[in-house]
Amino acid sequence: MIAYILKRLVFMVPMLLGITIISFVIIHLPPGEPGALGMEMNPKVTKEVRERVRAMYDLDKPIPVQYYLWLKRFARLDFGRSFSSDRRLVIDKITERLPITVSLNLLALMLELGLGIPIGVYCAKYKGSLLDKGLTAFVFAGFAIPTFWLALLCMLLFGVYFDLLPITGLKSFNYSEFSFFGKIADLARHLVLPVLISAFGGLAGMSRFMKSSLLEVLRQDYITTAYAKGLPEGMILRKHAVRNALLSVITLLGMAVPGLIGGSVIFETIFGIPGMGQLFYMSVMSRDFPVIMGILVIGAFLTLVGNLLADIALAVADPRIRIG
Amino acid sequence: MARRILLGLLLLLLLSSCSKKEEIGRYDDPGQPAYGDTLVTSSIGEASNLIPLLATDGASHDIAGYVYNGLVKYDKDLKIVGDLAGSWDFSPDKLTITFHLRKNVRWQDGRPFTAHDVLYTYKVTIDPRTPTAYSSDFLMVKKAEALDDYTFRVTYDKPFAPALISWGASILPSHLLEGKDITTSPLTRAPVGTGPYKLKEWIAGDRIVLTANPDYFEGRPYISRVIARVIPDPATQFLELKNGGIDMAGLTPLQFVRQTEYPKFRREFNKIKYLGFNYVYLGYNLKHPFFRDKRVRQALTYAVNKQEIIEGILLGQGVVADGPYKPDMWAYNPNVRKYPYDPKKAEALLRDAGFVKGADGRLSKDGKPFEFTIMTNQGNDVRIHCAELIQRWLAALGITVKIRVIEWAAFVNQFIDARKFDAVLLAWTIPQDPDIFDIWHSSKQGTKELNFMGFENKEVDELLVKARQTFDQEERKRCYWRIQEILAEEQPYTFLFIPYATLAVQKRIKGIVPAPAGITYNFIKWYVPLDQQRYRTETGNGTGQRQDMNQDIKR
Repeated sequence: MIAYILKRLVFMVPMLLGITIISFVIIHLPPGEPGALGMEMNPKVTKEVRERVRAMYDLDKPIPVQYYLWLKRFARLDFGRSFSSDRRLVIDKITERLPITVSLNLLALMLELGLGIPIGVYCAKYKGSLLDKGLTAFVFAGFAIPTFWLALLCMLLFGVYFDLLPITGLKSFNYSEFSFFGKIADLARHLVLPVLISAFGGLAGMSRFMKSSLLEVLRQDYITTAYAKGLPEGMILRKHAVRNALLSVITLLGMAVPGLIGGSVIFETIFGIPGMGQLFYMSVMSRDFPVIMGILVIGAFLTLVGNLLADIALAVADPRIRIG
Repeated sequence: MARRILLGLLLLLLLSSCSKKEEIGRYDDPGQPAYGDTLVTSSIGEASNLIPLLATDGASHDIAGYVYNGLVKYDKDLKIVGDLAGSWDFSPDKLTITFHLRKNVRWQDGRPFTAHDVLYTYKVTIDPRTPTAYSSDFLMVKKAEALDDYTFRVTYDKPFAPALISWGASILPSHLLEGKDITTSPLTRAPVGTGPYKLKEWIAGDRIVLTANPDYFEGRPYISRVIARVIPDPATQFLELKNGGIDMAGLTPLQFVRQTEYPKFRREFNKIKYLGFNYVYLGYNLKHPFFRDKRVRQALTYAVNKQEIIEGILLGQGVVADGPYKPDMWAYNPNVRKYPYDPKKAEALLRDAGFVKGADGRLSKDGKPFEFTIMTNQGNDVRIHCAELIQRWLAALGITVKIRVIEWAAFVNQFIDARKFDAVLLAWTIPQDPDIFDIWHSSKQGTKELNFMGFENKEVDELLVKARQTFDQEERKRCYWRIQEILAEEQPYTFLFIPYATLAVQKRIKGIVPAPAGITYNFIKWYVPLDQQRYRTETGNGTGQRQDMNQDIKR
């Protein structure tokens, strides 16, 4: 087992290296350079200034040399400083946004599970009924409606017309003046729309997965046996069927782990939430190479680790993988 | 059952904190100036660096503008007045400027402001290690010296008219920066200036909070707190404005004219407009065989209905441009040759230039059909719509126009810099100082330089140099007026329009007077009467404050 994990870990190194090379080349392909973007078409910027700034960012060197310099820093786990004029450490920029995105995504994921699993169970139990059809239509509507459009409509309805919920951001201006419960209520009010809407989009996947695996389980012989024993239906579902069906949902969860750090650009932009998606989008638009690379590498690393964890979990559960 | 109770509780929680309806006419009373309250603004991008020397983005400069001062500034009519400098005088040969600095000014950390700060700012700006976009004006300085704590003198090699306003650059605190690496200074995130507001809090990606500087040398600002929120999506920004979450926001023409025309908005907001500091133009590549002929360019201008562009695309929120300045500037010459929409004249001029109409109604010269491409940048619908209208008008004359819309960085690098274009639809900022040397002088045609149209006119060259070497406004005016006459005759661009800056400001905020300089020139005099204040602020004077808890929870 340990040998298997070690083998997988060693294989991760060339994979990660390959990812960084491809990312680095691709982000240098589009025209436009950092720093220069703010200076484009600005009468006050002379040629000398432009050259000086390029040299400062090492942009006057060929791309392989730039990659080598980046890799050298990265080997010491130094992601360098942002090219944007704030010159902050990339790692600071990422760590101040990561908790926001992770906690939002976690909340949404929990809601997806909390709603998706019961929906899946009901649909499987009453397969073909009106309830099943209605719920299916509902979750597919969530899947099909563009999130940004729904978000704007909800903001208009609950924010502007009914004036019930705040539209953007996470906290009120005078958040620090609130009591403990005031703070919780304030945060909750800000979170209602983003969490609900992002969970709505993911309901379809979760509930359909649950439904189909439950239907699979319900066809098994041991369920028939349970019915034959005369167990009440509720107990059959709870004790035998759902538990077994959940195993496959847990695999689905494992695959969702890397998604927790990648915020949605459109979503965060609309709700004005300062998360990873916004950071990534803004750094792409301003060609802030160190930040882009930082996010890509962390994302790639987590994906690889997530895959490894999923494989290990499967190996623990299934001896055929472990041995074979 | 339990779930239903939970749901009910949640609903109750939400409903209990929703705000009550505003009374009608609550904000109509101008009231008395009072300290307190908060102004909430928003921007699409986040500020990046609050040392203005190092920042090139508008969001950073907007915030830094509250925190720092220059030696001089523009007043509401765009005249240069003293800021940190109480007065200044020129030597008789106009090569030396001596600034007499104000003596009662303190940095926000309590240290006095002196001429050494000015000298430091000059030195760090021209330091080759400083990554700044703003060194070019200061590089023309021959000598800069601090004669004593309150006298600062600069000497130039030759007279340079924009020199005076170049000292409007933000002066930085030498006691916090000298001898340190400015790019990694804590001041990039926590500025210390001499200005009316100081930074209180910066929540990355979310907002910046500024509080009034009670010791500001021009007097304490009435509005106690300014919050600049980051709302990246323009549609959300508009929703937040309508919802009361922000107090001041720019509006698109459609929002200004139509989408804000309902009673509640009118009750809550003042809509303000003033002429913007930019003009939109159709620029011709003067190396192009067809556009080399002045008559062709004049014909195209006659063929463009500028008024219809303004009515149709800007919904009336703009004025016709016929030169590079806006009508409320002293440099603007109203008596230049005008080109009212006249397709007949356009046709005649094209005929003179040797174009003949073929059987299919299309124009050609020497067998070459009159076809060209208008390029513009992605993300600006107004420009794209303009190009479409122009395409239609020119098609009526028999000219085939194609439109190409390209992402900004690619547009500049691959087409503008490589001079690979026929015509472009772009805009220029109208500078407050009328010096337009960089755009029109024939020497400015190198890569990355701004005369990319290839405009060459000897008289304009001479006038541009003369105008920047004299400080006499009448003399400069004569130069710029003549330049505008030549530009109007030559039509290297078809000047299209100057849009209005259109915005909405919450009605409780009083004291806003639009002027040629915009509206924020008297920001420290803006106020909210006590009985209309919405937010409690710790620096407010406490008595008679409206304690609108609902509003407080809501925000």
